[in-house]
Amino acid sequence: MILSRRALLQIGLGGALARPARAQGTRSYRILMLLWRGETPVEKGFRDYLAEQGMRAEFLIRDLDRDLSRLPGFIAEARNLKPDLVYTWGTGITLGTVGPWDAPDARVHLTDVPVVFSMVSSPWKTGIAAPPDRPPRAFVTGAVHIAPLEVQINAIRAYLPLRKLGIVYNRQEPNSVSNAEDLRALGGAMNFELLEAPLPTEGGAAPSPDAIPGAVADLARRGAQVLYIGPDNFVGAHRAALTAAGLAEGLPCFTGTELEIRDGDAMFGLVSRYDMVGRLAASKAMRILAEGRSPGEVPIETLQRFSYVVRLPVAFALKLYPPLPLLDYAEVIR
Amino acid sequence: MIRRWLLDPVTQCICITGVALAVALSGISLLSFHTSQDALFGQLAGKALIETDQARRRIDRALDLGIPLDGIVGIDAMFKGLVAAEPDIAFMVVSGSDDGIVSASGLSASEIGVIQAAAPEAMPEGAASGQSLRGGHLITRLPLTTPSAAGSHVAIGYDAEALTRPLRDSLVDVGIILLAIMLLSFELMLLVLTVNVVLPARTAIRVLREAATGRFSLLHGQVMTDELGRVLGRINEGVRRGAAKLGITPSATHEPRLVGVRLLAFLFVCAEELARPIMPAYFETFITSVPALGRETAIGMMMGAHMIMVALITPAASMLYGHIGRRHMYAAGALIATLGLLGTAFAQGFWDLLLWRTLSGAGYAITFTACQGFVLESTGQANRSQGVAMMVSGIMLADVCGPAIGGILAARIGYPATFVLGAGLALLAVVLMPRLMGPDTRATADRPPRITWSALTGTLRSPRFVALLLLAAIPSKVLLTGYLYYLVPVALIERGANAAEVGRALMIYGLVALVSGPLFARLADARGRHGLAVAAGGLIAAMGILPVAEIPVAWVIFLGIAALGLGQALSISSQVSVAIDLSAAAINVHGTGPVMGVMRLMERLGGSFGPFVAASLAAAFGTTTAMGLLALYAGGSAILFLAVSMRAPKPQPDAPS
Repeated sequence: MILSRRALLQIGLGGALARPARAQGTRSYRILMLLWRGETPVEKGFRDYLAEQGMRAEFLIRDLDRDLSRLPGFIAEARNLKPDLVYTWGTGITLGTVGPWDAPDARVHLTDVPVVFSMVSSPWKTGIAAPPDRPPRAFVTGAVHIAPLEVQINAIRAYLPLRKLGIVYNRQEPNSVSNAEDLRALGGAMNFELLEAPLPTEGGAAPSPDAIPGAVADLARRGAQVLYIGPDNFVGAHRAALTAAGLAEGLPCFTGTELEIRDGDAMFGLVSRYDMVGRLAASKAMRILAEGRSPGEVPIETLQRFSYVVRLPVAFALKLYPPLPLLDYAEVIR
Repeated sequence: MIRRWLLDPVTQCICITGVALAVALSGISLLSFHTSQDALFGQLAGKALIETDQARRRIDRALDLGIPLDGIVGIDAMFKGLVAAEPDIAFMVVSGSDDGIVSASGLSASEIGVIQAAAPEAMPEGAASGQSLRGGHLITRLPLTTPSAAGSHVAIGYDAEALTRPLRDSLVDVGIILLAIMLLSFELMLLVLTVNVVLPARTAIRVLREAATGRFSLLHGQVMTDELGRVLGRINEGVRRGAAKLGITPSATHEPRLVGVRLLAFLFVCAEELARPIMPAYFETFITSVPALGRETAIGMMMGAHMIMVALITPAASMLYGHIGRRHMYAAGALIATLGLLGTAFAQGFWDLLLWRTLSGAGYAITFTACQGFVLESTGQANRSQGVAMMVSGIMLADVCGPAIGGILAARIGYPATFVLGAGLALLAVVLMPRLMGPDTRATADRPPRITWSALTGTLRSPRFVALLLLAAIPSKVLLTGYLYYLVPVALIERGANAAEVGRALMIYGLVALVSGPLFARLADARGRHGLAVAAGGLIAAMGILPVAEIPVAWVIFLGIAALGLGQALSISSQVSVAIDLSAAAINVHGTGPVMGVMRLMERLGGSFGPFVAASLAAAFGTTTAMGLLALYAGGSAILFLAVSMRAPKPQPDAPS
């Protein structure tokens, strides 16, 4: 089953990945990678894809180590290094690197170097990309890593009935706020109520992980049936605290990103495989570098197929066994 | 009346042949039933084994993952998936090591318990171990293989009806084909007998009567080479000798071959009716090409295009009839219909399909007008109603045979090929026309009625005539086009019927109307209560259709179709009489034909919106509720019409209404 899901993912990417011609010649490209928490399977997929296509590349790794205040320094360095392409990881780094689509500041942001992002959940909503009815940005493209929210809600309902969905998120992250807004709006159309527990942030300071168990308990008391984990860097970093609180309250966690289920205790999720997201981003870098396309000509895309993953020990602990029809297509982590 | 009908040689002939064929068919059926059942059982047993094994594997996989047997979720959902693919699966049961039922789907645990406890029946060869025939079900019971569930089983029960259904369906198809061929054979036999025996005999009687009075002015005009021909030759010799003595030259005469109109009417109606059961489903496939229009409007336009053209082209064709003549008109109409039906079969998108349906409708209207003209030109006041009845019987025959045969064909050869066959029938009508339709007489009188503007406005000025239109004629047509032509096929297909079954259902309407029509016509004439008959017809149809909104199953739909046939047969013949009564003033000025033309035009225009209304209601409330709502509309209209007609003074023949 796992193999066939992987095969499906390959097929789903086939169109996007097969298009660029194999890189010919001896030129080596310099790619600056601005990363949030070091190299992840996303970057491995990115590197592997370029290598398979025969592209020679020199990777300059700059790790923010979860600290956005380091970004201006790396951007200043980028201006001196003059890389052929900048790769960015996540919404915060990407937005800080390229600025909003309608008001980038050439003194602060990179405005004349091709930028390819990955792991951005909603580039249009967060202002990284121009709205669909406007011309695309000339130097920015990339890969979106989460499934559309409607598809995620249907994925939850394939497992259990859903009327009340709980979410814990960090108000300081624009992608998290945007995601909560989208879920709230979707609730009316898809007949569920979104129960929100934004983590307290006093005086502009980052929220404390200690606040997570209380937020989860509050959601459980209000009748949440499932805890939703969206694209939130803070929650991602403290996933263990969140899922443990969920288990304590008898609440299963659903995730739209892979990390929380592969390396966490979310019970189920509909996720893109990180290496495949990296490969999709790399296919865009190929078209820019090897084919000489402008990033504006290369569309921002999401993967067409996703993996339904169930973490069985968590399901057992909660006594929420996966339904039979789901076992026909889900990847089960035992 | 019944005694006379029973003593009629044609009735006796049909009955004897029908009984003989039915006995033969039953014998063959019984023999083939036993032979085929064994083969079918083997297939069903194999299929049941595969399905049960797959269900077992899925449950075993859940057990392998560590999920306890009584904690498995989604067995019902899995069962629904199985039934969607195999509708003959009646139940699935998972039992634990102690044989206690862990999960029951399809039927309740107690019902399944009763079936499983029933004594096993003898099974034909082909069953695997673990399979048994009990309580009308083929049960396949397999053990779960996961060690943690040792002694547990999964069992799936197939309804044993599945064994007989394919055979029964085929036999019903054979029966339908047999009935249609029998009716057609009698049609041809009647044609041959009438042309070769009845008409020459009638002419001979006229010639001999003329000779008996000593006038010798008529010769028998039909050339025949058989025994009858020789007798007619001798009669003609005698007439010539008599005429020679008187010094006059006799002229040849023969009876018009009006009987041909029956086959001509049958052919052009049947060409269209063949595809009747598949139209909604076929047209549905073109909706995606016009997302802007909306599904209901698109369906309404495709179904209504034919009807609206019939309404509009019929008066236009009547006006051209005098210039073109019936032969050219019939040939042109049938050729246009051929083109329309061929185009429908090979349509590429919504807009060209609409054009082809428009052409089919125009062709239908033109051939209809040509046949009507043929009847009017070939009959006098004395035998006109007989002539009209002949044409109507051809149309009714097509209403009975067309959908049933078309449905059987469509289920086997596909939708487009069925339209091609319809086009073939229309073309055959062109080929046969010269033999069946006599030469053009170009008579000035007795043409199809022409609707003039003054007839239209004069007729529509009568409030009670308008009441008849709005409360009886148009609701009847809306029920026909919206309920029978659109909702019935859609509802039956929703319930898993194929095109052949839809065709059989539509045939019920034609059969009931064919049998009850003449009886009701005579009854209404004898009692003279035409207004009451119109309202009663509407109410019968409405009451018959209405229950389906509460009991949405196939047999209630069949009941509704039969009620519609009965109601329309009662109502439609009386609508003409009521219309004549109500429009006495307009008829005095414009004549009966134009006034009736106005009624047909208006009711057809109203009826052409039936599919649109039905599709919109079905989209909003579901198919069977839409049926109920249409029935309420027709029933309400009938009650209002009854109130209007009871309040009105009984019209005097010459008094303006």
